[in-house]
Amino acid sequence: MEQKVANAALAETPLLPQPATLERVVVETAAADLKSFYLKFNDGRRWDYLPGQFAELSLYGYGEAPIGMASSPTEGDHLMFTVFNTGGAVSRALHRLAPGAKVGLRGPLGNTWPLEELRGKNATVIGGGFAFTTQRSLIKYILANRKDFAELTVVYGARSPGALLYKPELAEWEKSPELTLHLTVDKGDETWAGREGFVPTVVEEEKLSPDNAIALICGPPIMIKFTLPVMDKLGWRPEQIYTSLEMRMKCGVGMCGRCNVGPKYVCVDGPVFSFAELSKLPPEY
Amino acid sequence: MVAGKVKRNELSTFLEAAKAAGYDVFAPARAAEGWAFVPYEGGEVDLDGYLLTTASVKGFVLPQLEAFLTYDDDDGRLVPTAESKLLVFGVRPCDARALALVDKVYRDRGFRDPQYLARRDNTLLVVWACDAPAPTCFCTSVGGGPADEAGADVIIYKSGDDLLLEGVSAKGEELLKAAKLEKVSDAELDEAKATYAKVAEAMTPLWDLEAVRPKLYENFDAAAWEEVASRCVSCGACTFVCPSCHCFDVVDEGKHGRGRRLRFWDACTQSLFTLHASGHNPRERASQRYRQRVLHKFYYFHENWGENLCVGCGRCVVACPTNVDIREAVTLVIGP
Amino acid sequence: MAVEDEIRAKARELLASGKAEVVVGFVAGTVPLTARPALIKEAADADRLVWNRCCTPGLARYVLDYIRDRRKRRDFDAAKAKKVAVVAKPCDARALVTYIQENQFAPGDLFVVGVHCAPMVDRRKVFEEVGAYRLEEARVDGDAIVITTTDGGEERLPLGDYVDASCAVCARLEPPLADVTYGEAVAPPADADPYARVREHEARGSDERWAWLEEELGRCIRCYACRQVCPACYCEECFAEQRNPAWIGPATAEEDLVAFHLVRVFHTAGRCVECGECERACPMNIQLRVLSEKLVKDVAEKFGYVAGEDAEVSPPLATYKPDDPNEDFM
Repeated sequence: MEQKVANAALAETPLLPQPATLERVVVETAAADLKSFYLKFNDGRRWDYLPGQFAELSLYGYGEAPIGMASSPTEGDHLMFTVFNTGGAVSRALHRLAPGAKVGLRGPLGNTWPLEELRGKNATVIGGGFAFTTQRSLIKYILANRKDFAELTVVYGARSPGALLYKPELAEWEKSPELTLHLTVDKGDETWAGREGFVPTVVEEEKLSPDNAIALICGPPIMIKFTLPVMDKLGWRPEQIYTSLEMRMKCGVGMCGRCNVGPKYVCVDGPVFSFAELSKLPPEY
Repeated sequence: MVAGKVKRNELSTFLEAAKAAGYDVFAPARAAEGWAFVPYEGGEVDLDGYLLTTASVKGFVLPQLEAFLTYDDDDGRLVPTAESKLLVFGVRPCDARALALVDKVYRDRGFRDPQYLARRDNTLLVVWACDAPAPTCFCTSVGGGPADEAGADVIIYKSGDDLLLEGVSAKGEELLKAAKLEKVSDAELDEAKATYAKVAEAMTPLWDLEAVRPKLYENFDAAAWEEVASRCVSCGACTFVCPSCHCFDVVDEGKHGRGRRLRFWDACTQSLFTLHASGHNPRERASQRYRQRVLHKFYYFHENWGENLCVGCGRCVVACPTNVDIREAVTLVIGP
Repeated sequence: MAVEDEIRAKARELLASGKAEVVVGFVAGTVPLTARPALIKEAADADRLVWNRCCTPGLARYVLDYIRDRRKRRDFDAAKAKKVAVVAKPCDARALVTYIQENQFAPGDLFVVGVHCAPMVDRRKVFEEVGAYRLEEARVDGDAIVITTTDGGEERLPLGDYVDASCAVCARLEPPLADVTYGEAVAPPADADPYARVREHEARGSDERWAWLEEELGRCIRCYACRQVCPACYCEECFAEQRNPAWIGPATAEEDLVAFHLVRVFHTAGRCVECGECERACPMNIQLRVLSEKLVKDVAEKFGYVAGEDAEVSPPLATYKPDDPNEDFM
C-alpha cells in the first residue's frame, strides 16, 4: 500500500504547507470568476511533478483547497493554478490576493495523466468549462516533449467566448501545426467567429478516432455524460478514456478519509482514473 | 519472553512501577457516561463490572480536537507534541487492535503524520485480556480475539488470584523488566492462555469473514442497505465511539494571519461529510452513508491494507440511539 | 385485544387497503430493552410491529423525513399521495402538531395511530445497574424487569425504579392528534414534579451552574445524536455547522460545546415536546433535559404556552403580543 511520495517534506510533514509567494495574478474570464495564480516557493525549492497532479493551496485563516496544477513542469520553476471563485472561504480569499501575498502549498499530490500510456500515441484532450486547467498542463507538457507523442487533438468548449481560459495560448495553438484545436462555445457573441455547439456534438462531427489514441476528458458532469455515448459510438473503449475526479478533500494524503470512491482514495489513487477503472467502482462521486 | 505476575489486589505495585518508569498512567474508572480512562492517582484499581470504556482508547493518540499547526504572520509551524510518556492500563484487545490498524493510515502509506506517530510512540498499551465478553462483543468474527496481541505492549491474563503480565512489544518488555515483578513460569502462562483460548472458542463467529467480504461489495445495490439504514438518524455516535474510525476534518481558527489550524474527528454518517462546494453530494442518503461506513470497515480497508477495520467491540451497537446494528447489517446485506 | 395486536391490525388494514403507503412504527431491537423505528410498507410485514415499554425513540422525525423525501421523487403526485401512517405516543403526536404549525405538512398527509402509553423503561439505568455489556437478555414482566446477565445470573428489578425520567413526570397523556387511539394512559404519581431537575438547577448559584455546565457539556463528543433525534431540530443547515460565517467552532473546545448546546436548546424554545429523546440518545449520558426543561418551564410560565397541543394556535416565538413578558424576545 506504500506509495511513492514526491518529496521529503511531504513524506515527513504531510500536513505542513510550504511557504510560497504569489508573483502574478491573471484574470482569465470576462466574469473575473476565474483567475490564474503564479506562485514561487520562498526557499527556491522546485517540485518534481507531472500534469494531472494537484496541490493543497493553503491560506492561513481560511483553510486549504485542493487545486489541480495548471502549469507544466516544463515551464520553469513557477507553479500556476487557475481557481474558480466558488464563494467558499479559500477561493474567495484567494481571489482577493495581490502579488506579494504569502500562501502555502502542499504537494504535489495525486497521480498524473497517463503519460506512460500516452507515449507514442495520439492524445485527444476533451475539456469543458473551468476543468480545463490540468489539461492545459498536459498540453504544454506534450508540446514541450513533442516527439514522444503522436497527434495532439484538443476539443475545448465553454459557455461563452468570455468564459474560455488561456485565450492568448488558445490563439497560439489555433495557428500551431503541432496540434489540432477545436474550440467551441455554447453561445457566441459579436466577437466570436468560431464554432457554436456543445462538446459532445463537436466530438461527433470531428469523428475523433480511437485508433492508437488515449482520450483525456474533463468537464462538467453533464458534458461527460453526453460525450461518453458519442465516443462509444466512435469505437472508443473505456480503457482508452481517462478523466480526473473532483471530490471533497481535506488532507490530500489518504488520512482524513472523505474522498474515497469505493476502496480508492481520489487524493492518492486519483484524481485521474480511466473509465474502465471507474466502471469497477461505486458511482459515488 | 519477558513476563511477571502480581496479585490481583496488588496491581498498584505494577502501576506504581510504571509511574516510576516515567509514565503518566491512566486506568478505567466509573464515570458519568459509564467507564472512562482516568489518571491513576495511586491505590488499587477497582475493575469490578468493567468491560469497556464508553469512549475508546483512540483519543489518546488521535485526540478528538487537535491544534496541529499554528500560524503567525502567515508563517506556519507544526505544534510539537507533548513528550510525556503515557501508559493506558486496562485497554481491551479490540481497542489495541484498532490502533494497530489506524497506524497503517498515518504511517504506512508513505506519508507519515509526525504528531500521531509521536503520540503513538509515547503511548504504552497494557491490554486486559477478556475472560467474560459481552453479548455485543464480536471480535472473533472480525479477525480479533479476547486475548489478541495486535497493537498491545503488555497483555494481562487472570490466573486465579494472580495477574500474569506478558510483554508483547519491545516497549512492553522494557517496562516489565523495570517493574521487577515476581517471576512467572512458562507453564503458568500457557495454562492461563489456554483458558482464554476457550473463551475465544465460545465466541462463535457470526460469519465467515472471507466469504462475507466480497459478498458485501457485490451486494452494493442490495435493498437491505436501505432497510438497515432506514432508522439511521445520521449522527456520529457510532463513529465517535468507534476505536478504529479515524476520519477528520480541518478548519482554521483565527483570521488576519494569526491563529491555529485544527483537526477534529469527523463522521461519514453525517450528511455534510462529502458535500461539495457546488451542492453536489455523492452520498446524499443515510443509506449510502451507512453503507460507506460498513464497507470501509469490512471491504475498502481490507482492499488497501489487508485487514478488517471493524474490530468487533460492539460500542456502535450500544451507542446508536436507534439501534442500527452493524452485525445485523452485515448479515442482512450478505443475505442467506 | 392487546395494544400491539391493535396496532398490527390497523397497520395491516391501512397498507392492504392502500390508504397508507407506509406505517412508521417500532420493531424489535437487537439489544435488550430496545425497540427501534421501522418503516413498514407491506401489509405482510405488519406483524413485525411491536408495542412495549421500550418504544422510546421519537417517530415524528421519520414522518417528516419521509414526507420531505417523497416530495423529491420525480413521480410524486401530491393529489394522489397516500397517507403516511405513524404510531404516535402523545409526545410524538405533539411533535407532529408542531410540524403542522410550522407548515412542514398538512394534517391530511397523516394517519395517526395514537397510543396511550405507560412510562417507558430507561434502559440506561438498567445498563448502569448491571453493566451495559453484561446484559444478556431482559424483558418486562408485570412490574418487574427480568434480566439475565452474561454470567448466567437472573434478577428482577422493580420497573418503577427504572422508568425514563421524562416519562416518569409526563402528564400529557392524550395524543393531541390521532385518527385512532389505543391503550390506556397511565398517569404519573400526583406529586410528580416535571420540573424537579430544573428547580434543582435554578437553585444553584452561578458558579455552581457554570461548574455543572462544564461537567455535563464537557463530556460532549459533538456527535449530534441529540440534534439528529430531536423533533424540533430539522433545519436543513444547522447553525453549528455553518462555516461562512462560523458562529461557533466545529469541535469540542469547551466554549463551543457550551455554545452549541445552549443555542440549540434556545432554538427549541416553545417547540420542545418534552420527549426526552435528546438525553436518551446521548452516548455520553449528558443531562440535556435540564436545559430543555428549563425553557419549557419558562415558556409555560411566561407565555402560558405548551408546545404541540393545538395545531391552530400560533407558537409564542412566532407571535407578538403587546403584553409579552419581556421587551426583548425571550
